Amino acid sequence: MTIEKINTWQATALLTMSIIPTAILFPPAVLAELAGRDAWLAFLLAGVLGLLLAGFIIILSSAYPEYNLLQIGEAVMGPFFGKMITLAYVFFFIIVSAIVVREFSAFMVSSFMQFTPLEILSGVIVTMAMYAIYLGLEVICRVSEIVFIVVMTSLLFFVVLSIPELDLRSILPVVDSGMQPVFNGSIVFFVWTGEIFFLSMLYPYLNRPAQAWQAAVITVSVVTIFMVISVFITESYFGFQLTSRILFPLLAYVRLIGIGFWERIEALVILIWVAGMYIKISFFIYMAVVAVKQLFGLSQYRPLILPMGSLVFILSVIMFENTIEISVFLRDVWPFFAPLYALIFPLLFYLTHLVKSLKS
Amino acid sequence: MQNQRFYGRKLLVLLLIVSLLLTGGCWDREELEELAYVLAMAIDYLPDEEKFEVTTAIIRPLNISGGEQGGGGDVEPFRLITTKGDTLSTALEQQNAFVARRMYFAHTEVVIIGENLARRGMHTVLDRFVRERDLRMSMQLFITSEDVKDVMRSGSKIEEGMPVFLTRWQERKDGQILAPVVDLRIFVKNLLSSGIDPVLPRLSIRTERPISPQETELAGKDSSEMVVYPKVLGTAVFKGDKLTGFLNDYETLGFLYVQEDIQHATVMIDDPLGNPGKLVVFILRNHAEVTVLQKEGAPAARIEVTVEGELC
Amino acid sequence: MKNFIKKWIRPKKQQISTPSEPPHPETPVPPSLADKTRVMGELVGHSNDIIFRRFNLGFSHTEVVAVYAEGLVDTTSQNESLFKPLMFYEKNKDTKSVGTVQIYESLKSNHISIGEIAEHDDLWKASHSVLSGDTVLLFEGVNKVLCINTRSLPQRNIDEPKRETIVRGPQEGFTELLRTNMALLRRRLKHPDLVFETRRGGTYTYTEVAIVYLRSLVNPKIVEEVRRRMERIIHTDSILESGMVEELIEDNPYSPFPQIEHTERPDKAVAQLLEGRVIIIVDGSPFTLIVPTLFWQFIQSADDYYERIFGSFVRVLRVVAFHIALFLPSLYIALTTYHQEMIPFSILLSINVAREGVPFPAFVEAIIMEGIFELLREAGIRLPAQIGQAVSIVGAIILGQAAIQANLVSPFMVIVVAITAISSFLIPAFNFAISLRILRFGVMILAGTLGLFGILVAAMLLWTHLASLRSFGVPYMAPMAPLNLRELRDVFLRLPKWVGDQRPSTLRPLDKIRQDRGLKPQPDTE
Repeated sequence: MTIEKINTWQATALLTMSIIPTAILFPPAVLAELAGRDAWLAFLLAGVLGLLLAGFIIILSSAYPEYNLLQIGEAVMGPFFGKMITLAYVFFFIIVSAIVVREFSAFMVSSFMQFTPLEILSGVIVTMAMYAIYLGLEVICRVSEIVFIVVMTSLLFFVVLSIPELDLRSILPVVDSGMQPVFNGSIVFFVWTGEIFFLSMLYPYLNRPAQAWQAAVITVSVVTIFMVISVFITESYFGFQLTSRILFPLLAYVRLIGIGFWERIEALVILIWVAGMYIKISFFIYMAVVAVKQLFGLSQYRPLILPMGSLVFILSVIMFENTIEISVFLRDVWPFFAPLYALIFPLLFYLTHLVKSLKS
Repeated sequence: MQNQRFYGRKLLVLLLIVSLLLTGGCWDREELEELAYVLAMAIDYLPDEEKFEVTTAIIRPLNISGGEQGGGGDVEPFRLITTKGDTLSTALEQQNAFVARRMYFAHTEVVIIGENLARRGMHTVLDRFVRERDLRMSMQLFITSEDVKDVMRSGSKIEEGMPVFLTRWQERKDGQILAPVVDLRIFVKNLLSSGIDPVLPRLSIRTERPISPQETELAGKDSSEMVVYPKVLGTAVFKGDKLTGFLNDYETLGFLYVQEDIQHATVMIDDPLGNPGKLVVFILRNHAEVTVLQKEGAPAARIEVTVEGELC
Repeated sequence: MKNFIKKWIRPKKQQISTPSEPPHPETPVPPSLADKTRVMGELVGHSNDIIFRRFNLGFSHTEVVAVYAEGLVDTTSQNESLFKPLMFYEKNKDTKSVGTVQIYESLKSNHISIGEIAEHDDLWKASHSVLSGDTVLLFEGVNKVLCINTRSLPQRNIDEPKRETIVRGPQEGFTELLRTNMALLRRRLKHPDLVFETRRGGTYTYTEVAIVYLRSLVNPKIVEEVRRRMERIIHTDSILESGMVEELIEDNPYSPFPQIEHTERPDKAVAQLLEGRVIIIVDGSPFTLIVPTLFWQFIQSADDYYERIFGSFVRVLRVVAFHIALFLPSLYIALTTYHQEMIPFSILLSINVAREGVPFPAFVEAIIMEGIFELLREAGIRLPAQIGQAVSIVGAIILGQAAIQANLVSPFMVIVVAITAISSFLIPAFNFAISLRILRFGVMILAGTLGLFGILVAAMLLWTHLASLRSFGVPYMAPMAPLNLRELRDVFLRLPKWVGDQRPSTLRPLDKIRQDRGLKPQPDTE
């Protein structure tokens, strides 16, 4: 089998599409709750953290350009600890995939197809993702290129539509209640900007690894700028108190606007969003599959797709009782769990690598 | 052959998936004709009974579009249903007793709110409006001091009834100097923004004897029967979500000047050259500037209105 | 189970040896003329249309047998240039005492006044050239046979292409005869780098197939890949049409999308050669294959490039029509049964009135109407032109009208079906339109079960599938995925000739430069 190669632009599209689709769901409300008027600052801070993490990840990956993150881990930490950490990553990827699938179907049920069972929506999207994974990373990347363009164009469109409504007063005064709320908010959103560490899973496939930093910087900047703008929009429209009380503020905003005589376009917006979600879920399950392949040292990942898809599907259904639970989970639990994988383990790898290279 | 069995199995799986989709599918499906389209809704609060009263105008599609073929006849294009309940939702629930199809609010264009309800506070209905997935944000809101049932019933002989009258009213471009045009989106937005309080157009009815012979004929055999016309004139002013009072047509004009909302309208002004008589001006554009200042300790506002128009 | 997975993962690779024609038994030429005649007779099966003409060389006693197939030879040139010089052959004085071998050589070089002759030392091959219209001469005592091209194959005139009519541009099309087709290409491309590689396929039909490419342009990897895949055609019993070759060499036989385009137009074939593609001509078929083929080729037509740049409009129109043909009925289903809020109210009311009394759900209605339309279309195609048109038009009008009046379907559904049909006629490629027709039903089923979400599911699945396809190593969706903005312009727009300085890079041509820069007409500065 020939090794798959992706270019920088494809990596950018894939990474952006693996962050934005869920970032626009809960974070605006959660951060408005935590940081109030300064939510935009919290997003910005999280973006800066994401950029730092991206720089670090690229340094780590360029030390082992042939390896993805898990392979680096096993090479650096030795067989036993390496496998243990890979196992941890397997669980991480499975859980995060399940969360994303659940977020998708929860959103669809609450805003689009009220009577359709959650399981059907999850099942459909997971099946689609399984098909994409079966065809390989290269195909996921190629699809994400177009999805990226469509999603970003439509988002840009709505940003432009909102310009007359923007009100600077809604975010003033800045840092009224100290920096603590901002930090709290940025920790929550660091979960999303921290997902830039997936770049290390793509690194061996890049055809020009020297340009990896471009992909990382563009991705984090696009995500951050977009989130800053979107929270600005929702707070201009609703004020921060109301924003924090609406489950999906951006959807509420989209419902408020129309293009001339044509209203009720939120269905189209949701559809475009689903396309982004499809990329995200495909990529996440792909990484889970690759992690398992890595764990057991298999040569092929395709036989794992069906069991992994089923597992993620079942987990996504039983993991949460209701939509509010996801929101609470993402606010209270996940921010202290995800950085372990995004930051701590890679840091551990790098330190060990440094110690080892100093010794020799 | 091994190969063929393999494809057979693949085909079977495919067939299973397709049939699964077909058997279990269609959860959110509704055929068009299974819906009862509510074109307008009138809501009021009855202080005596402490109940909400809802009147809906459900369209009869055959009578609206079939009008040209003469299919309409004596049957009115709407069916009005009035129910009561402790909350808006329970009142709406009661409506199902009279309707065979599912009440569908996605195309509701007009909501008339009674004065009692508006004075009590709009939050009770707005909450429902914003949460209701079907409702569209471009619904026109009106405030009336009359009995909402009478208002709903009025005008059936001129346009195709009150709801259509109001829909057309807000769509037209000219002559809107008598009342502001406000839809749910603007209302909610103004309600939410600090420093701005919402307004709504005021709707009332006028009862009079039909003038033209045509209308007489339409009104029925008894030419002495009175006809009820709807009339949109004046502004209802809110503080927060509570109605506080009304502006008359003159005050409304001033209000619209400040709002820069006047277009395609004629107004009468004094001749700036001092000649006797008045000038009638067709307004093309207007611009207003408001500066807040302090006058003897009390806040005051200075309003400058620039109007560009042509004589007519 | 393991086998199952293995099979799933890796399709079994066939090991094929690399000859360029079907295998045949070795048949050496026996020395005596009687034996030669006997073996030849056995090889051609003593068939009655094969004629063995015995005659003496000049006025000598050297006996020669001419073998040829009746009806395949041009008798005039055979008589004038072959039989006449041989029968009136006079031995020169100096060759009085020479043997048959010398006579044979002198005949070959001095007396047979026909351009194309070939020598074979294998009677099997000779017998096949007889069956292709050659005249084979058998000599006593010579271990070779002489094959003289006297072919006059039954053929039709060069005609207007029936399936690819264009408004402006050359009106001649390929015919069934390989040599004619090659000549048509050569006439348009007078360049030494134009290469024809012929080979034969089909153990029974022994069909000649030509691989055509521009040596200095085309990426050799593509030619190599074509050659490798063309080995497959050798082992089948028959190649009757280029469609059979297409099926044997395409990348993904299960994909609903055709991965090889075919054309009847020499000008189009030349244009494709000049972009670095390979043309495959199959003897007996006027349809030549173009490889590699990209998705967007199917919505392009040859005369896009012959009219002025405003042909771009038509191209955009085709992209729109493609989407309408694929999605419109499903969109109708999804909107009317799931998302009524998105339909403007006045239209909604009209649909509602029209649907009042229709017994079927919109989904069933759509399936029925689309099905009926497919029936009508298929009925129209197979009938003779005069009846066919009448049947399809009258059938559609009567059926449509009656169905509406009987309240079986709503007029809106008929409109939707009609628009869909017209849109699908806008797609120039018939094989591509077929796949659209099939996919349309799939999308409709998804739209009927999941509404707009179902349409999106269908679109994403299709898109993923398309992104995974390759045609001879070239990504099928290029230049859209992988994205190449500069070349994407030419997909939706038809760029002026003076803009296209470079050949499409997706095919990785050896020579990227198409023309000099700055060919844009400039206003006179004087």
